[in-house]
Amino acid sequence: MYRLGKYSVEIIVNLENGIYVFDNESATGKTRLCKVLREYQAYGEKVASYTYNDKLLGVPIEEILVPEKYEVILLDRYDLYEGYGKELINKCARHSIILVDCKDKFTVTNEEDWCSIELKPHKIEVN
Amino acid sequence: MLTVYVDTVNGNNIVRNVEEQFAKIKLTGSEIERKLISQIEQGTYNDEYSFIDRFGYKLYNTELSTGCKAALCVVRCPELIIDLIECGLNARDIIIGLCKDGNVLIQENGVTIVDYFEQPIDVKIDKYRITSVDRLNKYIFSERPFEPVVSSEDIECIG
Repeated sequence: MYRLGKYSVEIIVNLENGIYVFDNESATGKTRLCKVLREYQAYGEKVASYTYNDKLLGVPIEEILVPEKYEVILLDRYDLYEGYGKELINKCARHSIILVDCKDKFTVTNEEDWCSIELKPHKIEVN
Repeated sequence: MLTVYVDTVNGNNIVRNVEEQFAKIKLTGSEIERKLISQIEQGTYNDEYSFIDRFGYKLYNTELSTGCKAALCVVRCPELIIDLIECGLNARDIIIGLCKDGNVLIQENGVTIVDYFEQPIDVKIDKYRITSVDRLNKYIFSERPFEPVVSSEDIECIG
């Protein structure tokens, strides 16, 4: 479980450590969450996100898949780089909540679970 | 006609990164654009640069979801094949239900298309023209790659 309420957008993640794939629906708030986590990471919070543009810019996914460094990690648009960082994702999942936006085949693990996101103007909740 | 490719397609006009493609286009406020923003994003078209989101906030179009951007690329770039790999099922089904032109690549993932609008569609797939969601589902998920039964009005062989 992770909760961060001191900023204008409250983040609640009602999940245990592990790997979770968002349900297969567009326009639910995943990229918004990705951007908010990126912002809060810059403020020193133990959250991080990675998206396809990072890969295009040559940012190694290893920079955020550091075991025990972050409590919540979001991988946005993972369909376009599926399989990248596979081993580290599995390793980090023991100590972090890993949220993945992947609508097609997800081959990183057979043990992922599903999650859903609820977007409100000043709160984002993942269950 | 909306041309639907399933699983694979040949050609060098395939768009995989819809975010990048969307950044190159301009919206016009057409009826189809407004419907797509309304149905997928639950928002409202505002002008060529912005939309009103579901909470009433005015946002730049860069804040649209990837699925909605993919749909708008289908409309604005009819010469390209838009890969819907990043689209949720809702966006995929809304595109098929509303778009009458353009080209899309979808994955055969076993999840049938929902007929949101209960109105005729106009889809070309392989060598067939299909005009109902039910018939499209039957062809993709039950018949393909074998020849379909072309005995109803909602499917015809167009060669």
